Amino acid sequence: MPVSDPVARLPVLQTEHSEAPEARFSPGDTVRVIAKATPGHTRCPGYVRGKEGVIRLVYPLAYYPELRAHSTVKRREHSYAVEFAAAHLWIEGDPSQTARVELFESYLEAQ
Amino acid sequence: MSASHQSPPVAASEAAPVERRVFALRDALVDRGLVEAGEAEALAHHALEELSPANGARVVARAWVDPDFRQRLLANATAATKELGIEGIEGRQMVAVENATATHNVIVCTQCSCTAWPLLGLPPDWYKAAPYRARVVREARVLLAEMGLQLPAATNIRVWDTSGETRYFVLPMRLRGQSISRKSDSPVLLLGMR
Repeated sequence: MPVSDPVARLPVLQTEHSEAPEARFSPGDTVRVIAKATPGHTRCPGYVRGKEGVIRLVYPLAYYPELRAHSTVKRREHSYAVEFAAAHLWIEGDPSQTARVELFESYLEAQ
Repeated sequence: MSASHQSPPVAASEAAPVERRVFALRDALVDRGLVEAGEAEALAHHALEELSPANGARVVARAWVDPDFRQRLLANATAATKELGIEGIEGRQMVAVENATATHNVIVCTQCSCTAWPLLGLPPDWYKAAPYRARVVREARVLLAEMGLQLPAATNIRVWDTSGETRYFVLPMRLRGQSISRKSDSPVLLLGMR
């Protein structure tokens, strides 16, 4: 029996029409992660909230996790590999360390 | 905790062994038509037999001896590994990153346990452990040293947090003095893969 991805089989009950297929940010752009924490499921790690980073990679459209977790609406948007300096994230952070975190567009605002 | 609350509702000794509970859950799902008969077994076989770090070792060996494949791997890991017949769950969007003298790459999923199953297999327990997830984004150099990897002071560390859809795979630097036949893509190079 062929194995299929259980997540891919989830029914799309409704798709929001306000999809934005164009990526809002480009590699090299400086962005800030929204500081406000939203209740419920998120894929935005707490340790980068409110922090400034640089777009390194632009990823394809994917379903926005908050909507997929909490509603029957699915909306796709771009995500990005955003680079943060560890020294910016942590007290006494290692100056030779960076973190590249995958973040959805809705988590980011232009700087 | 007061004396009256010392026993959980069901004592551990009264709970059925995990295998029996798993099979009971499977039967209940099949009875209700939520999964087909044989589907759970197929998934278990896929997870335990086909998703393996041996796949990642094959990819590394090939990339070390075949510069064109290495280029394709770094450009699109999902497509390049599919050439070797490697694909599957948690492998829809894979990105390969390359270690160099100047930069050492590390993978973590700070929120849970995501990783590239087709290349690395199901994640080992240490990868899922909270101390690894919390510390590697904060002090990777110290943590890696504790785990047996002393990186030169001049080497920068780049931590990739698998917080979204992308699954990362690190192409290590080719070990010094290692001779590999051009035809070899056997999983002899597991050392350091996970």
